Amino acid sequence: MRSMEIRSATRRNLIRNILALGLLPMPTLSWSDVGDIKFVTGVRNLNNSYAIVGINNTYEILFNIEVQSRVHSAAYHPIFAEAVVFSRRPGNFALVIDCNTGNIKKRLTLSDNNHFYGHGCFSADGSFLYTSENEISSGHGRVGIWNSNNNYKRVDQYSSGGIGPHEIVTLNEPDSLVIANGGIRTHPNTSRKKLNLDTMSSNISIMEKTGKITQTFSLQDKYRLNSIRHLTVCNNTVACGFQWQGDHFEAPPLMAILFTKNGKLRLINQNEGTRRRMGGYIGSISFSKDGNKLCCTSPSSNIVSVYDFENGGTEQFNCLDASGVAPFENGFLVSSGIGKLYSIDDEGINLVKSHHISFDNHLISLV
Amino acid sequence: MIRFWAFVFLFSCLFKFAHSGINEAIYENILPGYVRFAEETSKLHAAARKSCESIKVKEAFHNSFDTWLSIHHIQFGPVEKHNLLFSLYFWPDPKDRTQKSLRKLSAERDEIVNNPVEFRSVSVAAKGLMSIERLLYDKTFSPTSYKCKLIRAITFELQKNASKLKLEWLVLANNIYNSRYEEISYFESSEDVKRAIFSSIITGLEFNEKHRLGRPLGTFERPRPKRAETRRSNRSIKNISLSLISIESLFVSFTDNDFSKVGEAFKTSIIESKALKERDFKQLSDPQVRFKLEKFKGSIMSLSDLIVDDVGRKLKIRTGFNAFDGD
Repeated sequence: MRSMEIRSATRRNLIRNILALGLLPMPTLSWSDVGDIKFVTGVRNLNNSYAIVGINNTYEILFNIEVQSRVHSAAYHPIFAEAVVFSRRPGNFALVIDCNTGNIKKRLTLSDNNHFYGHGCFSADGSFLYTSENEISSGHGRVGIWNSNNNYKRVDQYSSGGIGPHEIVTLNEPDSLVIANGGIRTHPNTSRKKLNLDTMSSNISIMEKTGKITQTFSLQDKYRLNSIRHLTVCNNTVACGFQWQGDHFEAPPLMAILFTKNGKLRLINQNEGTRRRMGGYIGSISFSKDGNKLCCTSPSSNIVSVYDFENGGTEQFNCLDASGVAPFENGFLVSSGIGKLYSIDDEGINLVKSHHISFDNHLISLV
Repeated sequence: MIRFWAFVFLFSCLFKFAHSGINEAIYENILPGYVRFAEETSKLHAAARKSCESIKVKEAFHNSFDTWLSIHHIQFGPVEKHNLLFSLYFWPDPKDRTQKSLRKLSAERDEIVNNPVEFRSVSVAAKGLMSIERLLYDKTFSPTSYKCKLIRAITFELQKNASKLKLEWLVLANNIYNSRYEEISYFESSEDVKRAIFSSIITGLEFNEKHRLGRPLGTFERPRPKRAETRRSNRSIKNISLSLISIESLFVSFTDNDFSKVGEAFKTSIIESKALKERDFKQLSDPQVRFKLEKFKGSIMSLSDLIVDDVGRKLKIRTGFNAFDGD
């Protein structure tokens, strides 16, 4: 990954240029102007209420905003200190959070025929927010487009290129979106029930900003039941994590690297014991900052796995109800459903903080 | 042996935990379970060394499996730290990797069986109790000197691992949450230990319901009797019964039997398990047999739900926020 300094400098220049053009309302602060907030995540509080929290670099909770129902993931604006938190499927709200004050700036809602799938991302310049959605009547995946420069007005929606889009990430070259279409159809009337396992087909679609899908990647037919759900990007390389819908004792590889230039999706092979410990399920996935390691969590089997690209080995750590993972210093920060935060680096895993809350599925590293 | 138990007793007296339930679960249940497993697997290896085709090896295998069922559900601590679960016990095995791995070793007459250090690198599918069962009871593995060497290599590693787990539990038992236990278990507090024991009870019950019972039951249209655990050694139902008895024992130590409804539900399930016959899994097309097994499966499921609701709430133990319903 390019150094943070370059990114910050680019960001500052961009802000200066945008401000010079008089295009922006002034009140929103940039990341460098706000306090030391480093992470955003959903939680369940001790009183069973659901909330969004901000975490600083000493792992303290800076704000705790109660919300009506469980949230899933978040996207942060590349320039301004705001993050958008998405409700968990089949959720119908997303909240724009001012990361300086911890206040909700805006509530995004959908028409009755769509619901959120819990993920989204910003365009590289921050002008647009993209959200993964289900068009309920047809069951087709949609990508919702919102103009962040115009108070997050809904602009349009495109086909996601499959059923059940989950995580979406932005790719710089070419300027496009990568969409993990998990392949599983659900309907709010049947809650989270999976309706099409007999025919499910998962893919990764690459979409231009015009909505045109330029490439689609699928797994071999024998891996049809691998639902491609989570993505992480570093140095324009995308890695993905799967959730196996068959017998988890016979789950195939659960991670893959996407090579957009030569059109290949390469599975990461691991030995029987390592794979079995992952329980057929990856809940979150993240590259390290330097892109040399890939970390994923398996909450159902209480395991965190770290794959090392240099030696092809996988190190695994026990972590009860491991959930979110984000790049942190030389390794990762992992959150758990029992309120613990762990740092992982070359020395191993360390418990760094315990809170009396349950951290939800994803931990989003800001800036 | 007397000296050993005196040692355990002394330790337990010196380091009594202030929190009732933890100490009892460890010293009355978990530690004795690991000690017995180490003893029985050691006897199994000794028997295999003498004569790997004798009835004594089979007897020792059954004794080892009996003791395994008293600790299988304890999946925290050293077994987790050293990632030994699968090399002790590789099941469920829907793709029959055990058969494939053992066949491959046998076909190649792989010399790796003569080197215990190198044998560690062999696939977990060809190790542990399930591989021993296969070699002892599957008649397609005919008696050869190679098979004998393979059994000895597996039993040697099994007893070595069992001994290692026993010794580490002796240390861990007295250091369970006031240290980080070599930075692996992260039991910061009694709450963490309680959660681990509670999870063991729940996951143990679920394993019996979903796998030991659910796999052979299959569907009404397609029962899968060949998926029953240890069907070759004719002990599939016995495993469920012994496992339930062990989990009940852990529950009683842990909670001081404070939950009468759960106590009753345990009794019902154990009585039901004892009324089942080993041949039942082979007669799943008989509606009466199927009904009996389905009812039993339902009893275990209700028991597990009752513990989560009743005990979890009262003891304020919260588990599996993401594990139970991930996305």
